[in-house]
Amino acid sequence: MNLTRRSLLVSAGAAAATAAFPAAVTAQVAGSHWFAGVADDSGFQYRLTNFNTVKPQWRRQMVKYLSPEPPGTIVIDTRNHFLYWIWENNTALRYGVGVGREGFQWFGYARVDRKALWPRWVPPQEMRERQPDLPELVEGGAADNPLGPRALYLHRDGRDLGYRIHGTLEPWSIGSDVSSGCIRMFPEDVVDLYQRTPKGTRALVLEHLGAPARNIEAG
Amino acid sequence: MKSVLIAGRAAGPALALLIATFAAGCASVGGLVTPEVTNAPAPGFESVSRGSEEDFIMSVGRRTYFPEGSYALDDTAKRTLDAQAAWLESHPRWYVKLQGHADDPGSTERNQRLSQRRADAVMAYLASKGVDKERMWSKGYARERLVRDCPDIDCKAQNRRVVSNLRRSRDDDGD
Repeated sequence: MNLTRRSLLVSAGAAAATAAFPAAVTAQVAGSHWFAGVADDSGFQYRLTNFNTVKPQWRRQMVKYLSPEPPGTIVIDTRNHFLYWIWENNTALRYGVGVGREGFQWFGYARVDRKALWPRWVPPQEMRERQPDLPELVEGGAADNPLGPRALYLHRDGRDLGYRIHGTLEPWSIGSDVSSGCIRMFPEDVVDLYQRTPKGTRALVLEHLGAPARNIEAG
Repeated sequence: MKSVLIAGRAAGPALALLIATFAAGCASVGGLVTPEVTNAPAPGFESVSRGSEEDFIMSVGRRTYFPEGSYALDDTAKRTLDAQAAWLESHPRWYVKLQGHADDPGSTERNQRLSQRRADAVMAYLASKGVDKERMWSKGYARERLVRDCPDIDCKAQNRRVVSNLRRSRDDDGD
């Protein structure tokens, strides 16, 4: 969820990036092979992912699902970087995700009580303390808004947990531990999930599939 | 074949089991069988070809959702239906049965009416986007087919829906 060094460098300019970081990182900053054109969406635009570059396991796919969670549930396996949208007949639509850098700090049940198109981003106070350069607010639809085209807000007992399922500007981060506690998806995938999950959908965040479903608060 | 059966009977359960195993093996020839474990490809989705039902399910989505007691289409529902209409235009061989569902306050009759109205609202919207009315029909199922049954919004939000079900012919009403 936070602006990483990479994305800050994008705004600082590619020249600085070339000077300061190894070739692998600057290749991602240039990033052309990660993208495949642009999608128009409700008055704004996002960069389409070049899925030929993405490892097959992170692409959206229909899989068998034999765990006990019922249909109509979002299940997030934070260790293995998968988000499942559970269907009937022991199947699920599976998406690759990126999750919290410091290890995910909370687990358990939540509910999608709010959904937003082109959400504005307000970095939480503790994030701004760590990264004083962060803006107070990035408008929805802005090219540097790290949430991308959609956000699903996770609540518990009517309270905003402060965690969201959202898009990303960094498709290479899907499948790894990157953000600080949020769940990021390819922009195409978060748009897709937004359409498939009504407000009121239950979400379950697990350390990994098969782990106990305990409610653990962030510290 | 007859001699095999006789031999099977004569040799007892072991050979019968062997024959049964062989038959099961034969049945899987030509179809990819994936293991019964989470993350194995779901049957039919091992490779999805454009214009197939699996393509519709994966790249468009069949479900449109509704708020409590309502058959009005919100912006999200319209975006799903816009995508459905575009796909149906590209793949004119398919027919669509619109299956309306409800899990809303009130009697069974009221849920029946609401589920039918939801299906009809979806059909009217798809027609307004250019899908030939001859390719579509609708049916309301009230609370007969719940995704999940519980008194909370977690369940009810899933149940208040219309499923756009692809069919190969106008006569294929299925269930």
